[in-house]
Amino acid sequence: MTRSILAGVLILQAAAHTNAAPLQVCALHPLMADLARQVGGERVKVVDLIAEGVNPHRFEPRPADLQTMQASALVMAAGKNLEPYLGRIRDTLQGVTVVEVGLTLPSLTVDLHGAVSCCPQHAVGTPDPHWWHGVDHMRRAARVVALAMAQQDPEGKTLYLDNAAAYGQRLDQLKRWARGELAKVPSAQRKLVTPHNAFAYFAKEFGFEVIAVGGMNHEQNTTPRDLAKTIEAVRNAGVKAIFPETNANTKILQSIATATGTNLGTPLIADGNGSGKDAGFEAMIRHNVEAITRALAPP
Amino acid sequence: MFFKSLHSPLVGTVGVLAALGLLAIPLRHLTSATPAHPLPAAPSRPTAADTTPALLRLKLLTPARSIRVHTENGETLLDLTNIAAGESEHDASLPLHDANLELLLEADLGDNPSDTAVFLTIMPDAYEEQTRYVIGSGKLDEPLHYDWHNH
Repeated sequence: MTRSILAGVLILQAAAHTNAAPLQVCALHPLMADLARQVGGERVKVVDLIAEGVNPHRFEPRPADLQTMQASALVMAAGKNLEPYLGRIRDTLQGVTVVEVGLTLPSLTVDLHGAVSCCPQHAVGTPDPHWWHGVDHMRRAARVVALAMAQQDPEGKTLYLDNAAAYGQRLDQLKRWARGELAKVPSAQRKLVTPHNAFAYFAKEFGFEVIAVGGMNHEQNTTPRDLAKTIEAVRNAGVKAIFPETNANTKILQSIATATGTNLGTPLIADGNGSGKDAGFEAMIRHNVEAITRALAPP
Repeated sequence: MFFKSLHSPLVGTVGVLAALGLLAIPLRHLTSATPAHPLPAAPSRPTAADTTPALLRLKLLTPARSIRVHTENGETLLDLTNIAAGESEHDASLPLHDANLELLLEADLGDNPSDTAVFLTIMPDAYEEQTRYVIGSGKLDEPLHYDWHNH
């Protein structure tokens, strides 16, 4: 009788633990939200501060966002100065851990192309913030997130590390698939002409060259001089296609494609802000690999 | 009968204890809030005397009796026994002298005479990952050299 009563109490306590409030994680980047869900599973509640389809380069937290962050245990940012407001957030929040997920991941440096086509806060010689295009980087990031969650919720450590490892295995398979698909593109065509210099990590991992054309992204205005330089650059590259970016105006790129006799590829997802079936890291990589292969590989 | 037993003193006591136990869980969450952590400084390249945090990923194609990885100075980084085939990840602190790392891998791959492979990927903070591997059977004792000079 006593045993069964004790067992009952233990079951009640176990049930209570299962129903304990999940760890709240606030994400400042759509792919950090995706990563938090992959690693945390049902043990975490992830709040996306950046709505689907919104450009994280342009996000500025409002007072309501700060309240949401204050109610969280963790705030996850991409890091590498993608979020220039992070210092202010850290000064404002009390008792909330802010994790720059990309902090310990290896950086590429913004090169000369970046000077004319990346975001204003990423000048030549600074770390390129778009590390989320590296599959290896995302795999390492999963462990960073698992350890950050475990610090807040030690009882969940094994689950977080197991989830990160399982996700890592999936990313390994994803990378193998991507390599196989991109191998269909002849070496002379392995050039990504894009309006936004966001694909350096992807290019390094999969053996492509990035040619970011100046003045074509939504951060800058296009001048006739920019346009002429861009047309010359595209002609010199000898590529079959150039790639617009999702959620951006393709009108100017279409005129460049017409002037150079190239095709306009399917828009690439540059900032992890794909929506619907293209939301999340794995979907972003699949979308971009398929778009590149379709445009640059022989029929 | 069932409802009658609910009114017994024993069940009442257990009920109170269970309620207190359930209350203790949210109270623990309220009283063990973690203090704010300042943002760690961006990792810098270590000097000769420094060590740097790193993630080690070990991959075995077949099970192994034991795997030991140590530095030139004898500091053990990994010491595992009866390891299943597959991947495992481990944290370590590495002495990266001038962006170089010399490790020694001792492996007992069991009695199977067929060759198999052991992969060791090193991912120091802020450095690209590098993988080295050894192929063989039985007992192996191999140096592994990692170099991030061109990184």
